[in-house]
Amino acid sequence: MVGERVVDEREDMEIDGVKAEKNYSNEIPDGFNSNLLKIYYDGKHPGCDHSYFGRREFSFTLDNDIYLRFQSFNSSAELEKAIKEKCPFKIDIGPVYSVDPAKRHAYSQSGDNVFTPVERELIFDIDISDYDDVRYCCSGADVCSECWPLMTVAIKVIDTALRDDFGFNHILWVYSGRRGVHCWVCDGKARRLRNEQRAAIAEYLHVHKGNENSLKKVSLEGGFSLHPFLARSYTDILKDFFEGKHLATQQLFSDEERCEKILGRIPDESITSELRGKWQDNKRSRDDINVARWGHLKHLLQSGKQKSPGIRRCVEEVVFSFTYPRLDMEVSKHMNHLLKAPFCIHPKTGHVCVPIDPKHCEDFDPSAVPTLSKLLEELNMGALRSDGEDELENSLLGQSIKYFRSSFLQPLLKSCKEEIESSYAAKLQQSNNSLSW
Amino acid sequence: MRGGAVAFSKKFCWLIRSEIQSIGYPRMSASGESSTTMHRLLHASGSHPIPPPDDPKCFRNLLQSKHSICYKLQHHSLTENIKLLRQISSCGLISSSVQKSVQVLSTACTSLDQLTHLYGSTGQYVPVSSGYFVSHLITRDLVTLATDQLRSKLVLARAYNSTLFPPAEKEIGRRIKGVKMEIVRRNRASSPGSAEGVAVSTIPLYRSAPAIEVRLEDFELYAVHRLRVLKGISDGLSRGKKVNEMEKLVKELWKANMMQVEASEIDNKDVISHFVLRLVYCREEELRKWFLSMESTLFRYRFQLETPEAQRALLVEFDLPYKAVSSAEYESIKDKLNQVVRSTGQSLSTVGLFPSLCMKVPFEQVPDLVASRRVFLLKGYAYVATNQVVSLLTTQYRSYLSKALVLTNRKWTSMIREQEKDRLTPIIEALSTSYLGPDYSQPKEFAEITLKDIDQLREDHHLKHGGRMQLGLFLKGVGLNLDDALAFWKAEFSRKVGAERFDKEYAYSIRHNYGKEGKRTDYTPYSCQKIISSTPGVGDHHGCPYRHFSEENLRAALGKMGVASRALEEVIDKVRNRHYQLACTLTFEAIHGESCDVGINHPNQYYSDSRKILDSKVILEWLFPTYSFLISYSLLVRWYTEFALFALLFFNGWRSVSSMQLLDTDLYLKIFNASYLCYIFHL
Repeated sequence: MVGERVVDEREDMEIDGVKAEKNYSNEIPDGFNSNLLKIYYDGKHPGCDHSYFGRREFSFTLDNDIYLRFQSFNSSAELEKAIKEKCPFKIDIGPVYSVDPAKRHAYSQSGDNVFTPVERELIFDIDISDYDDVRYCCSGADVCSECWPLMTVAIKVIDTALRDDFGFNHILWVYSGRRGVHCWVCDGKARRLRNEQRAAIAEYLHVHKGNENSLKKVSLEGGFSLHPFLARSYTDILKDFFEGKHLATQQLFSDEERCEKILGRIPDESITSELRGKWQDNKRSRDDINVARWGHLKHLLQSGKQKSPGIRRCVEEVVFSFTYPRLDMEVSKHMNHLLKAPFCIHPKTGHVCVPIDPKHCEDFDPSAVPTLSKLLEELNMGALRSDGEDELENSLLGQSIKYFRSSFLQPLLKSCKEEIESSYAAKLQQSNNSLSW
Repeated sequence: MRGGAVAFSKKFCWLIRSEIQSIGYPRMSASGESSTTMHRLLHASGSHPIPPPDDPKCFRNLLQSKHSICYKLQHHSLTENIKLLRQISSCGLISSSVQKSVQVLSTACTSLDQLTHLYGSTGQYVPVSSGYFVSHLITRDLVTLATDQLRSKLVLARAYNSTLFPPAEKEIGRRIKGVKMEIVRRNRASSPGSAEGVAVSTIPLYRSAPAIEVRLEDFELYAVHRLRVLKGISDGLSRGKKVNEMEKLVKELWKANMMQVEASEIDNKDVISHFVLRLVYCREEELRKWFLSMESTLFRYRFQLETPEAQRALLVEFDLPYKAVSSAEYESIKDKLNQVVRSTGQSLSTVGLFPSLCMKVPFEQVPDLVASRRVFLLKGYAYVATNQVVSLLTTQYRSYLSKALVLTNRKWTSMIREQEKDRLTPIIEALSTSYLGPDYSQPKEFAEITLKDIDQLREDHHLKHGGRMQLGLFLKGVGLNLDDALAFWKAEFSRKVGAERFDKEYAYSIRHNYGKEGKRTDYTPYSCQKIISSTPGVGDHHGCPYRHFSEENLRAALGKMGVASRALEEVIDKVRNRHYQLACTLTFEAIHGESCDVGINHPNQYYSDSRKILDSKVILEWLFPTYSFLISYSLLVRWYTEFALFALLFFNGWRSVSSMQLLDTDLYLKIFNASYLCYIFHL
């Protein structure tokens, strides 16, 4: 139906969120707003659904973790006002419901209008803290340049699958502000997916099966080969990353404990003991110990002697368990999950949740992301400059906003508009037909 | 019924209360009449509990004057009145004029009401107003589900099938003077199948409601039969049966429960039972989910059991808008398709991929194939092989059924529940609970399944959300009230995260579990099936130990629980074959040395059964088993002092404390000491 409005408004909101929290003067958002509003008013198609934006849930988190859920707004101005007034620490975006979420109780009494989500972007959430058993540099919410590449790999794998396998086009990756990334798939088709279809996509992208109590963390079902998607992820992305980078940066084979962790995943006792023996001997090798040991392991498992596909699969399983993206499944499975709005300020780190370009995600450095204080500094420095587009482009957030608008927002607007027009035309056609009857 | 503008009159039947109690809800005979233009014999109870009256003639005379009834009712003794009314109800009310009969009967009823008033509650008879036939109800409900075309066809001119009347009653009916009976034999040609043009295949798609009339007994009986099938499927799934095993299971279940003597009855039974259960299971989200997945599974296997011709016919009936892949397109993706086939562990020769047999469908249509990575995906399209078409159809069927259930639910809440308050509603409400097993939403008693959770909690003083839900709800089922739950979690969590953060971040979800926050649902503890089918992620500790533990970990855990080595091997064997619940049952038996016939279906059941056995042992041997069990228990979960006290209260139960009073202090002290020792020992 109509995605156009909501996209507009969300954009407003995100910028407003930044503004309100930074106590900006109106420079950036104003210029931005009026432009967008122009598109919005001009582009308002007779076929568009006027209640769409009003049925979208927003959630504000205020100081001291006070949650204000089921907020809804009829216009961007209303939203802007509310943000300025309440100054939320965090803004979450929820689904579009069947009725105005703020008035859900009133509707529930009338009985017939069931309060249920009708549209929601397909979302993914990947946190680095879920990788704690495969990274040795940091743990918990900490992240450094050694483990951030895991996120880069995750973006690449998931992004490719979403585009090539599922045929989605309007995908936005956002830095979550501290320890991970969020992904918004905004295609009309994605927004209208039912819960079970969302779950199916999440399962398709998910290989980590066991919990803490089972040794095997990854299940790559399949007897004789990998599914094309997994095979592609492995050869195109995971293998090179694991062998070229991850082995060395995380020192995966540097001590006995770490070695055992990997050996534990090999079900064949004779192979593991052979490897143990080998590694005892050549402690002093000139090559990097990790690379050398990985070489041994690979050689032994994939040599002609091993007939069982289960044993050969171990190499891939190890690579997958160390590098394959770990999704927070529950976020993606249900329509009514909230997710932090892009361009928010992370309440702990002060980082702006900027978009990440999946094409150049290697270049993204989480520590270089502008923070609230840096933005304020910049503002103080350049307070005298005239406002307008140029200034926006040159600010710290300029690149992010430019990317967001040109690579994500505009194509999405265009496709939403086309969608509205075609459905409107179909509707007109239908009513004409019924008239001629 | 045409146009729905029919004034139904209230009629009454009478029930003996003891009967209500014996079966849990009223089973009554249906009687009522339809349009004013139609005069029919409407009594339709085949196996009425009350025998036909001895003297129909006398009864007929009675009916001729309402005054006489009123007079008699007013002046007879209670027992005589009861006899009289029994005659009226058992014979069915037959009159040359419907209006008159209604008048008579309602007068009689008013009289009875007065009588009840006069004599006080007799405790024997309960008047039940039956506004409509069962069939009317069903059709009314289903009309809304059905297409408009059916609505126009729905003329309820067809009266009951003659078989509905046992010979004796028919005889009575004939003997009564002035009765114009319209017993129209049901037109076989207008059975539900052909009404919608679905008669081709043997699996009905339940697109629209059948326009047949059903006896109350059958209404319930058919539903129970179908429920047995669905329950069997659900059990099969939870035991992790493989596809071919499931196929066999479904075949057997269907044969055992759904077969009728007459062939036409089989179809009717299928359709009727489906629609009855739809009504039963439309009422809550959880019920809908269960019904939906079981019905879809049933459909899937029934489809697979069909002959290829029937399958093709069904495929045509579904009218899928998808085309086979062109050969040029096929060539371009051939390698990938083969790769998928190999990745599912099949060999190419058995599958035989041909372009004409491969369909290109939007991936949304085959979520199960996508989820298990059994199809090749390209740009949003899934390439579905012929042998996978069943998934596609199941999805279609499921989504149709899902929509229909929501509609039925709306209908149910807005109309049927109220209208059928006295007749069908109790049946329907009883049906859904009678088969969901024991109700663990009532506080009861602890199970082993969450031991790992508790263990983890003791070690780390932290659990992720899934584990919190599972354990929290389990403890709730065990009888922990909200305040105690909050105190318990706080004591554990605050060691790691601090009391303040606990209040902020975790207390909410605990109150949520108890229905005090958010949407205020009073959650019930997770059942085995739900736990088994969950997929705990990295860092999670919940899940079913048999399913989600590795073999080594499971052995260690069972060993700690005191399972002997031979029994342990059996358990492990069951686990290898993915019979998780059987494994659990075996563990139960090994620990308690008693058999458990029903099997373990719910963690709380494990607990309450354990407790039952322990209780009996307490009676037999008084102190020792409980005592030692408690100590081993506290050792096992390293629960130390507070657990022992906690357990004491649960194991001996609040209610049996009085009977144990003499031993109470003694026991208390001993346990306290013992657990204190454990505490020191382990530290």
